[in-house]
Amino acid sequence: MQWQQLFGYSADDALVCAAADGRKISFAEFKRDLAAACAYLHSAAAQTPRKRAALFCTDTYQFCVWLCAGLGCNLQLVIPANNKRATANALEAIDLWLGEWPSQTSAVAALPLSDTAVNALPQTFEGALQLFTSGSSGEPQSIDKTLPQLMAEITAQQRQWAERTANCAVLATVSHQHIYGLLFRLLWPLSSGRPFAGRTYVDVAALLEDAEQLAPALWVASPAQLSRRNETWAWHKAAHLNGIFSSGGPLAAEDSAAIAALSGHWPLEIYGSTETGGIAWRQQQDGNILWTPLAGVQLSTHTCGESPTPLLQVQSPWVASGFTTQDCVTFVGERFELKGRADTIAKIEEKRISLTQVERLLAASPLVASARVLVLPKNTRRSRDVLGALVVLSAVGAEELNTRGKSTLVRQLRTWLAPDLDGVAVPRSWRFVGEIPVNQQGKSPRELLMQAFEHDQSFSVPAAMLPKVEFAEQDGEDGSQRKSARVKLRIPRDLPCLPGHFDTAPVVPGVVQLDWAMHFGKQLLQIPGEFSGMENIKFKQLLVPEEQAELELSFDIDKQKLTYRFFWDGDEFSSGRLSFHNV
Amino acid sequence: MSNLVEELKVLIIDVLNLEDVTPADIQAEEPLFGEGLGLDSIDALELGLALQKKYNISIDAENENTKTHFASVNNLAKFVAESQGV
Repeated sequence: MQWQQLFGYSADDALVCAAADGRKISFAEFKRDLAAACAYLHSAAAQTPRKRAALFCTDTYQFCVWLCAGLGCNLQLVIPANNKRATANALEAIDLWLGEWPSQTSAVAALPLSDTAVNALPQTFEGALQLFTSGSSGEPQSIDKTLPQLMAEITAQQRQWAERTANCAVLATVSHQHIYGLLFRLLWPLSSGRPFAGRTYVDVAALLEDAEQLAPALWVASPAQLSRRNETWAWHKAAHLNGIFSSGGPLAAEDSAAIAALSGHWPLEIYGSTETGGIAWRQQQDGNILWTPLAGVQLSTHTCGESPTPLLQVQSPWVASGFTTQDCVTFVGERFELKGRADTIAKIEEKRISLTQVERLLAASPLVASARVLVLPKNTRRSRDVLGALVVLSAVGAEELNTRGKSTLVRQLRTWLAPDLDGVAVPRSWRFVGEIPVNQQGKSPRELLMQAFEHDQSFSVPAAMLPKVEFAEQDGEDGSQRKSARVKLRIPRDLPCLPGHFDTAPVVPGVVQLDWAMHFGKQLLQIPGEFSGMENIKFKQLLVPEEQAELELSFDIDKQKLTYRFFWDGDEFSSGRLSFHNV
Repeated sequence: MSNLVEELKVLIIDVLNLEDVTPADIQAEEPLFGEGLGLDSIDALELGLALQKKYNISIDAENENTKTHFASVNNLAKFVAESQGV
């Protein structure tokens, strides 16, 4: 790739970057920095066999200089999403650590000084890149990209948006460490000779201020930022924007409309992935939900056994070979609608999260015996999607829970995960259970696991106080006024609620049986309201530790009464009715 | 000030839907992000918005001082009090 293809600046005094520290960096200055970085890399890389450099910078200008220098020195640049310890450990065969790598002592944090000598500029850029899928949880996939591939997509984007983006400075609320930011806020402005801002904005108010300074401007955004707005920000300054791009995941219709109302711009959404690059675009003006393929992109569908909706297949000049996405689609003419993902990789706030990776990390904690992790969707109680963890504690963990309480234990587990995971991949909601619930087929489908998170916690009995559940079954709702369930239990001798009743003849106290009935009623039958009384309570035979028992539950929705019965074979241990009322 | 500290703890728990966390669990001096309470970047966005809406204060997230303001509940309380001109 030639110099002229990478850099579109016409004169040495052209503005390349409005740096984070307020400096305005011209093309001449950039070339000096680039030459110095190249000189450094030439000597540093001469001693290394593999020519692989890991690159992470918070600052986009520093990143830009290292990136161009690395490509000019024929390095393979490995560009992960973050600089976490686990991320660094997972990178293989790295010769040079460029930028901020707290866990690597040999990392080169600062750019080499540019005024020491007159250094030569590279004329061709033959290096390659390795990007990563937007995983935040330790096992993102690496995707190799060549510079010609990336530039092919930029050519297509430029053709699509030439008029709108002409002369515009680029300000971004997304990182350049991902393909979308790398293309939209860095490589594209470089190649079309436009300036970019060196900082990644956290605050939209500050971005709008700077847009006025750098006008005309573009905002490279994502749904995470566009969905969190304050009406009081100086939105009138959005008049200095020529457009707002959004990528990383579909933007909700309400967010698109709200941004249009506040800023006067319907966000231009780009659909794509690290594997495929850009695929299509849409604007949700006039209620449109359909995506239009970018010029040069060939789309087809692939139907596989597991998913009833076909998956999207992509072919384009910037994909090495045809690629089947995990996105379900329905075509309407040339355009298509996205119908959700077919696999079990979760996506929260634009970050792909491998649930199995979180589970594996949790299971490695000495406090944990086993764990399942799932996505709990946004609802009236949760303002966003979060991860929930269903955990079976080890003996050490159970002891911690008993002695120090749930909130301390949760904090210990979150701290355990923090070094290896992005914040959004750390579970927010925790349930400690005797064992992971399974259905009759021995599987743990998501719906079954969800039940543990959806019932009201205020009645729940600590896991350590519960008997072992050998089998739990909930009758399908038949539209009648009754819901029922059955639980098969085995009562371990060492439950903390048993000592004292009685040393010579151990029994399960009546109050414990009532607690269990209430607990399983709440969990399996989703009983709303608060406990208000009990009636007809009978203790017929002693229930003894180490025994098995079956608990039968039936809830009358109208009367809000839960009838329960503990029994085994022909023996009935206890029965009664618990009543509830709405708060 | 101690009222404001307690008010902010409740706000943090409410806005971020922190299950299993009571105001007493949040140490006024401990870091809110990363270590300590372990909040993430999306939480920072949510919290910043909630503070702007509730106390009608402006937060310049790009300002280096903002990092200090958001470091702990105590710092946040000082910042809110000062911004309101108390």
